[in-house]
Amino acid sequence: MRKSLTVFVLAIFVLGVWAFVSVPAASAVGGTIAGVVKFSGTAPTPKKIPPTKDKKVCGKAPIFDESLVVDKGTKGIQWAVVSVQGAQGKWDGKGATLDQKGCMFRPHVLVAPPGKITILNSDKILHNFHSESKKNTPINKAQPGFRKKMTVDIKKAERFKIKCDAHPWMAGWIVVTDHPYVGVTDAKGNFKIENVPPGTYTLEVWQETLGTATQKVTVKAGGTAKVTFTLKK
Amino acid sequence: MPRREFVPDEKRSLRMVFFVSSMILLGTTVWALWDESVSRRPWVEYQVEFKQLEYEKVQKGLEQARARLQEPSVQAKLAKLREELRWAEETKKGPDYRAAASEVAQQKTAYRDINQELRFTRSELDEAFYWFDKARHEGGGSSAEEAEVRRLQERERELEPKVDAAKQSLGEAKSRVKKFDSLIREIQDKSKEITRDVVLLERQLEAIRVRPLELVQVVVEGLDRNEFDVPILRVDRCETCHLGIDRPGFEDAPPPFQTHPNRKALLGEHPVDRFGCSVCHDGQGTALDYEDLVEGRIPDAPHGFGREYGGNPQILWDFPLLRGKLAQASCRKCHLERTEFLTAQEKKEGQETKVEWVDLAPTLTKGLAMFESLGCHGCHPAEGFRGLAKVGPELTRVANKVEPAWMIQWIQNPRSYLPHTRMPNFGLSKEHATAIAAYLLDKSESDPPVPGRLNSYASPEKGQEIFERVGCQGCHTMRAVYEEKKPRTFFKLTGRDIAPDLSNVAKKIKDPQWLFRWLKNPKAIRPSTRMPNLRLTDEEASALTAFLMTRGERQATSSALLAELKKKEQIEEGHRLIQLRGCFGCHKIRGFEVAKQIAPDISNFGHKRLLQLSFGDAVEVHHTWEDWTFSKLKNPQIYTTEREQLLMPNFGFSGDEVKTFQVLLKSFTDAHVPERYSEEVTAERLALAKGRRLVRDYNCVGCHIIEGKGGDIRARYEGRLNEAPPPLVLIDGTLSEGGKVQAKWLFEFLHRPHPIRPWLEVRMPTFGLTDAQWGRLTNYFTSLAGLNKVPFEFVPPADELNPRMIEAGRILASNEYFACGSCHVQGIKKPEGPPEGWAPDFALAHRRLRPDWIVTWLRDPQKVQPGTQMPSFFLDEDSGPDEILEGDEQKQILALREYLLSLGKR
Repeated sequence: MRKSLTVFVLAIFVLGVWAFVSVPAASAVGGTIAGVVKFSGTAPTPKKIPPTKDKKVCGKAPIFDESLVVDKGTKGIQWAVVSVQGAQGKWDGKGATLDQKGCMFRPHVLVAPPGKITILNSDKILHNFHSESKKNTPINKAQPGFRKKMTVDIKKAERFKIKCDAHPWMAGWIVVTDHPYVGVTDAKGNFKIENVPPGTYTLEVWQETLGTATQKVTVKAGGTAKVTFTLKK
Repeated sequence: MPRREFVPDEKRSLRMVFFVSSMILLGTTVWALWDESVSRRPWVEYQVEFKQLEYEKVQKGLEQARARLQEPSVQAKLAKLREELRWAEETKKGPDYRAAASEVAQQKTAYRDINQELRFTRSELDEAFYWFDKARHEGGGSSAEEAEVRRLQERERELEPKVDAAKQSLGEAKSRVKKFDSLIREIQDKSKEITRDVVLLERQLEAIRVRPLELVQVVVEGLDRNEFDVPILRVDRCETCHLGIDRPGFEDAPPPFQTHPNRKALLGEHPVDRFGCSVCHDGQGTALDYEDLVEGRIPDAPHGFGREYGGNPQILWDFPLLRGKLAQASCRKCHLERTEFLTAQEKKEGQETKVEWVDLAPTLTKGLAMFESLGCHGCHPAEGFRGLAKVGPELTRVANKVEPAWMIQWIQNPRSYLPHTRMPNFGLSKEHATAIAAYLLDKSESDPPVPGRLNSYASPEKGQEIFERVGCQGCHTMRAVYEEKKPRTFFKLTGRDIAPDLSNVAKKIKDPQWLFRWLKNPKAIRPSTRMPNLRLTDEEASALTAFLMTRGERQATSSALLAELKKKEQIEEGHRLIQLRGCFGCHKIRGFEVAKQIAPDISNFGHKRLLQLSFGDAVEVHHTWEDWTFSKLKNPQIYTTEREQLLMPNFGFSGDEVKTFQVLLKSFTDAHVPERYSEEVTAERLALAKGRRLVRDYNCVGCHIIEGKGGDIRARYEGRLNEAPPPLVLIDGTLSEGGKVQAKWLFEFLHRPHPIRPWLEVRMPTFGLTDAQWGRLTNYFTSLAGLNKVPFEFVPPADELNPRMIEAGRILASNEYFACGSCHVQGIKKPEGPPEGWAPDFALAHRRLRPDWIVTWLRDPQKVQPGTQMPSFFLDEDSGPDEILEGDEQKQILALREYLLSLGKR
């Protein structure tokens, strides 16, 4: 009894050490791309959308138009997607999750691997997930209040808009890519893509109202490449 | 004079005569043989060539198959199978097999022995029973015999199970032996399966190699009759050279070996061995000689025949070969009632296969549509087009509508005002046009009163909004303001507008009051108009009038012209001209109510012989049917001579349009096809044909998508398609209006449309058709859904529904669960939010929807109507709540249906 316990503890220890050693070794192979996406021009004032339906739930917190969110100070653009073109790699196997909360899609822009995406409904009222995809068959799936969780299957890489017909102001985007080298900017416009295999790539930024822009970037093993995008209307 | 010496025949030498005549005989024989085997068999060359082609093709396939066979994985598989086979055969020779075999022999003996014993016992039993029976009859004591019978019966009962057991164990032993054999067979089958392709192709190759060169001939019986109405055979030898015509895989082969276009659909329905080829293609079916076949023996026509005749050089035959599009003309020999030849075909797009509708005779379809919508039947009597409505507007009240000055210009040259009009140019002088206008204005009646008052101060801006919203643009264009990005359905078919372009409408309108009356109730002003009533309020109609009157400058008529138009001689001249040019063919004109069509009957035009066509003084036109028709349609006056004035107006046809008409004209024949070759005209087919005609004439496709086509107005609803008129019959979904709504409801709705989505600004107009017409349209929609046989449906009355299910449905529809009221109107209960997001009233369902359809719809709305706002509630296995109806989704759907049917006033 005691013997087996010892073996067990020892095994865990060995595994732990192996994991500790191997993880940095793997990340040491790739490099990091970090940067910021900025807006040129005056930052638009956030537009508030008064909910016309289900006010009890949707009116709890203010709803803003998220089609162009720019930080007043840094002029960083939120919800821009930066992706490494032509990179190849495997996703870590975890699926993506989209929530519908306060009658908004959370996050507004979701980056996901091909396959099943979990859709949550934290509002406990009827929503529907309606995708305007072209490569993938469009989906329009109801999620009544009692169904807290459901899944949708997006098989091919594509960038498409999603909406909810029950709440016409609700809008979001899903970006499905074949490789994991993709990032979404935060409220300050910053993004970070890690473990990129070394090489020279075209980096593409996309924002739903401003369109796309590209630039070249060279990634060195272990190094960090700094990138700044400036988008304008 | 020397006397001729008489030499008797017997003494004369006839050597020379015999020699010469036998030489002639020999020569003739050799020539006959030569002619038969070489010069009269040009097809042999083709057969050899095709054989070569096919041989190479199969060989290529064989090489590929062999290469596949040589692949290491396949070879490994084969090797493994060989190994298995060797092992199996080995085991068959081994001790196990021998043991099993000897077991079988043993069991066989055992079974035979015991079975024999049983049979002997039975014989003995029969005998004993005989003695027993005999003894009983003779009245003697039968106890000994009876004991014997009983003993034997006992014995039989004992033996029977033993025999069964022996039989069974024999069977088992046999199956053990069989297992060895079946294993071997199985392995052999497997390896055969792998090598099958190669073996088959090898056999095919061998078959091609040994195939003799031979004449291929199809004899069609009972299709033709000779001049004395006696049935004769039709013989087609086309396949002698067109060897690949009915075989897939020769699509890219050089002529004459290609596969027939649309082979599967066309030859599948019309097998060559039953119909032959010349049924559709005319020409000389029996001819095997190229010149005979195509050129009709024009001495100087080279092998690359008749380019100088536009590819149709066959001037010497009465019914020459129909090539290319012209072959479509033959469809109407049998398919008289059909206006379209649609067939569903699978089309591969990447990995997905899409079903799409293909018109097998697109040119003919187009020609038919053009013939009818341009009103050719107004002047030309033609079989199949009798009794059709006139295509132009009635001119009995025209004076109230149009400005006379404009009218004269219009009559003279319609296209200068509307480039896409259907009205042709009659080439009239200004004086003649004035005279015609004078007659029409003189004979004009006053308009009947239409209730409503025009508000002359209505705002044109508001009018424009109404113009954009209520649905005017379903039919009317206004190219000066709204760009036509996509050609409309009717325009695509005919190259003309179905309704006038309104860019310049104010130029012709004499009085805004008239326009107001017209918009309020078109049918009151012109009973035969196809313009529907949009049920505009006085305010709406006034605003629309105001807007339209800003489009173009009104062209006032001078008083001198007005005086001229009132002159009696002008009016009389107008009468003469209208009579001469046949204006009443398209327009209703007072004084010409009973006038006959003015042009020749063209029912048999396709079979017109060259002798019957007059080429006038046009020396530049080649003397062929095709050239005659081409030039005539391009320039109707071309064959005019001093003696004969031609009256046909100019429709401004493009070259393609003329070619389309040629196909149609070729189809005008009195060719008589026996019933068994004709298409069976089912009620369903007839309903479809009649419905399609109505859909085209009333331009339903201007707003709705029907049979996957149309919905022109949707171009104005980009990004907000949910506000556009709904699609009715889709091809990529399963949506079909006839399968969705109840026939009775549809019929009533068409008569008196009431808004289903009242919040939509575009409205279904009132067309004011007759019961018969609406019946036809209802029948068309039900036929499209395949419900023609039972067009009606039973909707159970509310008290016959299951109350438990209704209750379950009510709970499911409530906000606790599916929250249907989030979008659907429920009687007086309206959803929250802006009306654009609302969905139809539940209370309509029991009268409107087919109960079966509700189930299909709830199961997966996206499958029925891709892109609909209605989300799928039951897509996953666990979509429904577990606590209702045991979580059974099918039951929940039925409960929702039950609930829907229970709602609303009966």
